[in-house]
Amino acid sequence: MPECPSSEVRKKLEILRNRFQDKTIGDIEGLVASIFSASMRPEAVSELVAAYQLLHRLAGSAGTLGFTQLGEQARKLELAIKPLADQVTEGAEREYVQQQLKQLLASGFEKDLLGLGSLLGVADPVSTGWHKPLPVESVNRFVLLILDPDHQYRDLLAQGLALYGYEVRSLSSAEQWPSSMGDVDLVMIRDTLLQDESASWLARLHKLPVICFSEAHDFATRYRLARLNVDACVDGLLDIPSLADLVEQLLAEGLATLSGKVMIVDDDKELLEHYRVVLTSGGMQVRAFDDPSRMLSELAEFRPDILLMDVQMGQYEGPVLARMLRFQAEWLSLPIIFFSSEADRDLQLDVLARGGDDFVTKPVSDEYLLRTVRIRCFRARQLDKLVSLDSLTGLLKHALAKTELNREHARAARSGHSSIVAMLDLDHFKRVNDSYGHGVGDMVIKALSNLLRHRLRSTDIIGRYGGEEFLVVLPECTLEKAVKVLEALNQDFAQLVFNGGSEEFAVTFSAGVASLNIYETGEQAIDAADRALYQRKRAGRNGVTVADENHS
Amino acid sequence: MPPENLKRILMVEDEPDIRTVAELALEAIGGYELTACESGQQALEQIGECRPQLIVLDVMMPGMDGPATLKAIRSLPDYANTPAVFMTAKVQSDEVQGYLELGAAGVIPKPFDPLTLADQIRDIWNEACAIG
Repeated sequence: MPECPSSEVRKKLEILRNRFQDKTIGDIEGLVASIFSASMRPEAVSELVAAYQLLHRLAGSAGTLGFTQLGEQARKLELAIKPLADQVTEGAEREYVQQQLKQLLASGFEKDLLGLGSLLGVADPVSTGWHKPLPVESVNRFVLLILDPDHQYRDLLAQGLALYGYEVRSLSSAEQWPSSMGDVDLVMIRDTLLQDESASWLARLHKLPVICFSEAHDFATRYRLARLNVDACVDGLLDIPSLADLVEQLLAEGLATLSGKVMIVDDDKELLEHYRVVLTSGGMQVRAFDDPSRMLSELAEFRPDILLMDVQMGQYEGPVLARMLRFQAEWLSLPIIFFSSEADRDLQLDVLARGGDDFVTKPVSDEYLLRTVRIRCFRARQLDKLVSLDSLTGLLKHALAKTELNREHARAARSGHSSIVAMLDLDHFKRVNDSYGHGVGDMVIKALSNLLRHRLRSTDIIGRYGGEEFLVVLPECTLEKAVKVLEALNQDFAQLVFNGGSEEFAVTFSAGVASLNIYETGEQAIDAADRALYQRKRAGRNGVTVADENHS
Repeated sequence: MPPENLKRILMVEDEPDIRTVAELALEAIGGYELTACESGQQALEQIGECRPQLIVLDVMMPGMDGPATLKAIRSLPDYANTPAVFMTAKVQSDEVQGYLELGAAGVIPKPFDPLTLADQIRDIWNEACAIG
């Protein structure tokens, strides 16, 4: 969700409210006049229909604009007048309706009606409430389906993977897979269930990532599995962390190809619209415009993965624009792709030299355009990840995590919400590395990373801060909630069983937590969380400790 | 499957003030792309361009009302299943039931709070996605 300073929205609401007030004064005057004229002249009773509609409208809108009392009163009057309006519409005798209206007015309706205008002076304070981000513990859960005849194995697997935040369903055979179960994101299947290649359910695997449990390593079996669209093969050992890692990878690959952000600049409006429609319908996010002079502001706002533009647009030359963009370090790595109608090799080389990355020769088919753009976006995102994400864990690198923390510190100070910083550190990690080797150690680090990523919100900031140390920032979260979430993570992580060659083992972590708000700088908040972490370490590790300053 | 992200919303609401507040609530606060139409007729003309993932309809409108608009939209093959939400000042439970039977994914009572409208819409969307 885009960041939106609440003061800005409040200001706009204030303006709207004033406008509504001005307009509604006249509406109410008209309403009063028409109801009175209906009570006096039978010819005018037809005006009751419009009066009813106006009251209905006010009942629905006044509250939204901050005039709750006016809205409630209008609702009351609306209900009272509705039977009369209905009679008018049904063609009842006018005098009869007029008679009832008179009675209604005498029974208090008149007083309420005349008081309506004054309620326009009673506005609620513009709410300071703000949209609630997702609750800390709620996450979008992926659904995994396990198909394996061995129910014990199935259950253990399901329990283990559930700890990573996946929703796991398990069945003993694919025949039991109900056609109504269409929300599965990934399938894990025992190779013996793939014997019958004529089974109709096999088609359901085509669109999903598939992991096969198979102990067979011979060429023929593996080739057959690959042909059946299996994406990955693991032997049946119960190594949950590695399996969770594989699941994570396969799901991420599926997601990465889904979308991307493209900006298109072309002075041919119809063509522009055509590109926009093609790419949008292909699932891309598109920002398209025909005036290159808007480029800088649009770029800053939209932050596309790639930029597509025409070589010549009116008075502007595409390659010059590309060179201009490269003035700003920000756009140095933005892939720029040109549309060019001429297949002129020299011109194309010239353009590449001046800051473009590639060409699409016009006319371009819709399918080609979409595929090119998809691939480019995917690559651009991968590159971007390489630069900013830790290669082992896929979490933010140290420096970037800190930048994000400082940004959140500023945001919290501005809007007054409470945010939390936590430092996490694996307990006795050196022993893991020494006893089982670095490969196993890396697996433990990855397991905690994946657990954090799955169980925290997508808006939370998670960084690998040092070797086995992690930085977590929970925006718009209370201290109590943060401690609860971290304690749950702590317990679940301790239950993961790692495979250290000859033996199985478990690892725990310690965490220190501090409120971002009560410190003057983000740096100080990190230090406080760090101190809390070391208190926890001294107090016996494996748990969550809150920084001293936060107890009051 | 995590719900597909909601981006494009089509709103049909005859009252200009409410349209403006809704724009503020859904675009500035919610981060959605909103196409706000003043009538069912206009909605039918613009739906192709907006390609909404979710439709918000005022119930009571002059000319084509909310249920009639929804019926017309449902007859378009691309939008036969697009989640729809009714907004209404009448919220008696039997009426709500009636709207849900018309195939609405949810009902938002009027007056709505502009600061939480985006949350309400998101909740309905997530639920609609979960039910599929």
